[in-house]
Amino acid sequence: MGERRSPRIHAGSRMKEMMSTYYLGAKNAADNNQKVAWITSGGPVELLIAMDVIPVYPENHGAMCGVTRMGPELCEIAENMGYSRDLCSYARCDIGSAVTGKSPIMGLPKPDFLLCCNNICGTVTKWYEVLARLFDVPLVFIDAPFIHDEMTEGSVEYVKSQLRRGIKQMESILGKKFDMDRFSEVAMLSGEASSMWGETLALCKNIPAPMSAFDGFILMAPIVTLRGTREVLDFYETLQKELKERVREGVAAVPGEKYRLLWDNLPIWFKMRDLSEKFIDLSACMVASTYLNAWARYDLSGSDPVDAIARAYASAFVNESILHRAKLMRDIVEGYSVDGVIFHSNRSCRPYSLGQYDIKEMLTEWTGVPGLIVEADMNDERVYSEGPVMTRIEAFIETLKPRREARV
Amino acid sequence: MSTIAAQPYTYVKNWKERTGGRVFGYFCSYFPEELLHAAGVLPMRILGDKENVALADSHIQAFICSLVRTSLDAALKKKLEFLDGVVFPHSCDSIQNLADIWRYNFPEQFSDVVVLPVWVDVPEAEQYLAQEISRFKSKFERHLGRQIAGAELSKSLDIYNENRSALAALYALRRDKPNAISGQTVLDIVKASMYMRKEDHTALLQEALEELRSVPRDDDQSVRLVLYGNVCDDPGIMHLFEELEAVVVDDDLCTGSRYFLHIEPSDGDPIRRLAQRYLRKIPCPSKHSSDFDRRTYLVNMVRQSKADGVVILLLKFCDPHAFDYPDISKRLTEDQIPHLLIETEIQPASIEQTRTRLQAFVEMLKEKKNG
Repeated sequence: MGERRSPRIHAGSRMKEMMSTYYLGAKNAADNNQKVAWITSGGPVELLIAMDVIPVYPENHGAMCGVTRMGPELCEIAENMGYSRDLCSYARCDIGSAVTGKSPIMGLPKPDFLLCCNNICGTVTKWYEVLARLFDVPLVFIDAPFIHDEMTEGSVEYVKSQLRRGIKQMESILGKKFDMDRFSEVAMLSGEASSMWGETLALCKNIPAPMSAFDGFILMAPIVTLRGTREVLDFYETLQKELKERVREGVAAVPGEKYRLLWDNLPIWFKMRDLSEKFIDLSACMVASTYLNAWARYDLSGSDPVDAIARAYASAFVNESILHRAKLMRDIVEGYSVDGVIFHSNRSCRPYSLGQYDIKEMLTEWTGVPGLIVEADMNDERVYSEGPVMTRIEAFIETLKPRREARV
Repeated sequence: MSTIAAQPYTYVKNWKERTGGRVFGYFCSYFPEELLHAAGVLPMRILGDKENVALADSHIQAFICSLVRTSLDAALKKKLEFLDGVVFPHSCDSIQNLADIWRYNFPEQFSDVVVLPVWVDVPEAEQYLAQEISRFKSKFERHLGRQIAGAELSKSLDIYNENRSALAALYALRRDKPNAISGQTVLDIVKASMYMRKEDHTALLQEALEELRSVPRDDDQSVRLVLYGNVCDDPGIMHLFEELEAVVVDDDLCTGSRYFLHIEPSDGDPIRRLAQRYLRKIPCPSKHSSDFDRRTYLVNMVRQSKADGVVILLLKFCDPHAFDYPDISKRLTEDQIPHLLIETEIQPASIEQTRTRLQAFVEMLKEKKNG
């Protein structure tokens, strides 16, 4: 097939420029007397932006290694150091790249310090401990207790006191005062960018959807890495404009869109193109993903930025119970007119994957929408078997036909 | 106590019948079980199940550790129906999500999670944990329909401290007389303490300690091993040590010394004491600590127990341990301490491969020691 193509999103080229400038800036940080901190994807980056520290994301870099299919090579380097093949493939890629300087961009610039928030998993805690030993640099750690039921005020106070501790620690590392006013501004910009991203994703509630999650997985780079800056806000404004235009003109991300799907968990980075083309062939559009939505949830509108950041980051998507996640997915299924849910059971990401079987059951019970679980990994191609995954996806889409016909 | 360790559920069910008391299951060495004890409830550690997984497959992926998989499987197979409640601490990602899955599948059962901090050595963690323990206590009290008095909790803390001291004494005696008591028996004694009321266990343990004290110190030349890792509940591996005439002289296992080491001062507000106990105990790798360095801790353990080598027993798919392992291995190598990594599963697997590797390791240590 392949004659049907998804129309190009023009904002994409602007993003490429933006990200290249950013990486170049990070690479040249030392020459420009700037400090670099490595940070987790769910970490409160506003602290760094407010201190003029360049944030660098091993996870984003990991995704880059995955897309360019360097995963297995980098993983093996870490495995030869004794890191188990069962560990997160981002962590293995990152460690492999850190010790050899290998990667699509010749490795990341060395960190002056690390900022780790465990609101996305316990893996980052251990991974950043490894990095702190490897580079012999300070680790700023923010412990965000998991929320099984309700977020307690005790937990919020605990996170706040750690943010204050982290600020003091950074002041002593950088030898300069933390500017609370600047921080307020950054938090506000970050919150605005997060809602802007949320609104952009919500345009996919339109039928047909103007963008697919596969586009989103690429276009999410700025919200992950640079939220809190003015340019990110501007970028998503432009993207939103373009997509609104598409909605007006009825341009579909997947030409002849028939099926609307929700993707759970991280992308399979090394199979992005193949999967995207597969779904286009099947006239199925991935209209939403829980992964993309994770960055649309930062409400930072409160007047006290420390309090706002504590509450927003402690209630990150994967820092709440599977019941809570199922409820958010139900909202997406209903709001985006989803016909089926595809769960990427990601060997690398235990906290995101463990519970998917029960979530699938809950969603079907609540909404009648069926789900499919596919076994894969975000970066490690060696554990992926293409044939069965594609066959199962085709068969699943086939089962959606009667539902889809009933909806029309 | 070995009988109890081999058939813990039988013991617990008999206890329940005998006393009419309630039993709660708990996970990991981080649940503040003193609270359960203070209310007269028997806390019982859930350590997975030896049978192969059947029912949990439709809830839990194969890439999750067998402790989590087989524990849920046992519950789904109705092997744990005698429990009156199940409680979880926050330890690792997998236990965290297991708690949610468990609560969804057994909605009728009393259940809760004490969300411990991950960063254990900052002052704000103690304040937070004390609040979290109080929250759990209130919920637990509502469920029981009765309050737990401060004096009751203090008393339980003292009883736990006494038991921990006795277990520490057992370990000290073993370092001196490793031939007098097998590695298996020591782990059985620790395991039995997870299924008995602590006062009953202490009474039995004191008798065993008396006996041990009367055994003369031996100057045996057996190869001396330290065990390090997570859960070790496989008699097969422990018997291999005996078969190879190697003695276990100390351990850093969560079913061994990490369960009981560290005793808090015996006065002050009991909730605070409880919080301090769990924050200051020898941390599991799932916890973050600025000061504790397990590499140094292990090296010191090896030196103090005059061990010849370390056997590292790691449950497959245990991320916190797997992340620590390479640097621990590196440090042991730098300090010229021979060590061997053995990957384990809760369900007993074929021991042949392990035997061959362990045999070669022990032979090497023997030669090194005598040559």
